[in-house]
Amino acid sequence: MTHPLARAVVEQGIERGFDLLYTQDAKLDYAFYVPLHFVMPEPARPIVPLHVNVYLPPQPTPARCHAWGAALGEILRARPERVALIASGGMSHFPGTDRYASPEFDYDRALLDLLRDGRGRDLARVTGEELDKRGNIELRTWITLLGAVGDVRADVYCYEPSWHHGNAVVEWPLETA
Amino acid sequence: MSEGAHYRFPPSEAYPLNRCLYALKSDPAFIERFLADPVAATLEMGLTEGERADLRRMDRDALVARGAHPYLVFMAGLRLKIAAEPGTLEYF
Repeated sequence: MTHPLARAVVEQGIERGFDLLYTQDAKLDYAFYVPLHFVMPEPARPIVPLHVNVYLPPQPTPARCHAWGAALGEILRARPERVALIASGGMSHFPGTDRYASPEFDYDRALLDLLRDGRGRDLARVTGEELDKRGNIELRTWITLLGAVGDVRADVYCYEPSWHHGNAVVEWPLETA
Repeated sequence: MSEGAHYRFPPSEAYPLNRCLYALKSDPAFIERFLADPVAATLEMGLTEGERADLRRMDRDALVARGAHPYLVFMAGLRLKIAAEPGTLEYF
């Protein structure tokens, strides 16, 4: 919470009706440092880590994630800083269950087609039950980002299935002011 | 979320068990204490005898049936495996 942008996100988010919490001491695990390892420029830029509860019921609904993302996008667009919004989360993935070795690759591929078409807002209507069933509960971070980027068509750089996981790299190219 | 979901609401009775699994996932000092003396480390966390026995065997299904979160069981098992066999990270 040292950067002015972090405080603006929390304060303005609450003003917009999202009861956000902040913490001064949460440790950042691999969901943060793996993507940052690949995309952080030199010299390093400040980061504002945002957590979305994807694993511990009751999680936020996809509709709520999308609505929060839309508000977040408005908050960020009104800021003077140039901001990159990054969402990190597994695609089809069932850690700790019998489904671990049988991800739903077809669901992931259909999802990426939808993002290519700029139909990310359709994901706001997916239920939490469906995400759990399809191994895509971590998609809540993507759905949050989709609320911020709107109907921009995604550039899907790759999709690589592994024996327990679908991995994709996707960018939403936005016009800069 | 339905009872058939992969990730369910954890019962309050399983709070010590889930705190212990979280510590195994995220607290290197606790992992060291656990590896050195699992009985003392799990007693310190307030686990029952049955929970301690299932944890010693890393019996996923039994732990989940007790209310452990599957993701925490998975990550705790993974961190213990890495501690026991450095270099296994690439496989998971």
